[in-house]
Amino acid sequence: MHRIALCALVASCTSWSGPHPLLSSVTPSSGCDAQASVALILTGTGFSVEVLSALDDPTAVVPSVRLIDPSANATTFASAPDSSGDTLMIAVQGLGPATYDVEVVDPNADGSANATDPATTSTLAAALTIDPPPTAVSVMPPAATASSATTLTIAGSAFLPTMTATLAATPPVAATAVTVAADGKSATATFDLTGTALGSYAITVDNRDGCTSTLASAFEAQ
Amino acid sequence: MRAVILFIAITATTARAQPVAPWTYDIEPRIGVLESKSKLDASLLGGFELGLELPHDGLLGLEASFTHPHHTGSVMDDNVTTSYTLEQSQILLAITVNYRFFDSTHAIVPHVGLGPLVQVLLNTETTTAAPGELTANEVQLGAEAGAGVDYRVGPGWLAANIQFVYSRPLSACAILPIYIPVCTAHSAPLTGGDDVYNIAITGGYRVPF
Repeated sequence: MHRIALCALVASCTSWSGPHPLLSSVTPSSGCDAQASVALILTGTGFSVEVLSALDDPTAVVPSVRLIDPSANATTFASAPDSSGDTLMIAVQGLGPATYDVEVVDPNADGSANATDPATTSTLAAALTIDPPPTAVSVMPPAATASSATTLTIAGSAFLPTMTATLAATPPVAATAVTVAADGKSATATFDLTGTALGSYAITVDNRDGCTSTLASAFEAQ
Repeated sequence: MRAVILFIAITATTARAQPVAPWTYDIEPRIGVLESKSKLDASLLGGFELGLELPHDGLLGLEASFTHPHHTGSVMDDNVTTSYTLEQSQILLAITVNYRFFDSTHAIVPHVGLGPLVQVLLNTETTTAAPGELTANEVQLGAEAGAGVDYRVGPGWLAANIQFVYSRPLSACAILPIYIPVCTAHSAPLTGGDDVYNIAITGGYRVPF
């Protein structure tokens, strides 16, 4: 009643209320988006979909997601909500390697017409780490006898502990016992070359986070 | 209530002849159909009018009505496709000054009326894309123009009315001319239309007391 009495003195008598977002988790919490988009699933509550101008030119408005880097630069993505109201999906690509705060913004929180329901956001700090892509630059030894297990040292950068390595033979040979150095600049990998034809092969390292690196003619089976 | 009506009547007719005692009041419960210019579906309307007879075949009416239209639609967007339902409760209060073309001794009395109104719009929106309700309430000012015919039956009159209702948000803009640029911004983002245009056709029975 106070509002009705006073609203004549201000610009508008419109009041507004609706669900407010509460973000609880981001999955996966890390990824590499340099080569392909990374699909993120955000879970929480109160993720609403609003239809504005419902009697005129209806427009669906979904929650937006802001990824904020340590320098407070924000990149905004439109989300795809599911009907439960507790899951949002976004696909990110082209972000620089960094750790990001993830913020869900109420679809009506643009401040333009929200006089009584101020902009509402929910933020998880350091919820997403974007990794740089791996780069393989050399393999030692560059050649070995086929038909036996061989341990190679792969040099490069941005190798993650989750990395795998594959020799591009026919059929491909997946490395076992991959060990990544703490600085991420080298890794040892053992390949069982039994049955592998003689020849020169590429080796692909895969950080299992969305990015890979392939070194052509990296190894020769003799 | 009588005191309120009396005060309103005195205020409204200060420059005119004072009503002649004894006061004659009447009440008209009414029901009808409301059609909106917007996408809202036609809806049933209920209400009443308290009337105070004025000199010179006039009648001062205090009118209240309620209706609850809704609209269901769907929208496709890059990120979501959803159906939605917008329900709008409309509560209207109006004070009208009516002129009757004949006095109440006639069996059939046509009349016209005009007056200001306050309208409260209570909007609730749900979508199939996500749970939860979005609500947006608006208070609007406007005017009502109406016409009708009363037909004497028994102790009162059967009444048929048609009313045109216009309102816009109660704000600084509402008292400024429409063409002032600052008043063109939407203050009703949920419905998308600030102005309300309604036509109501009602029937009732006017009983004097």
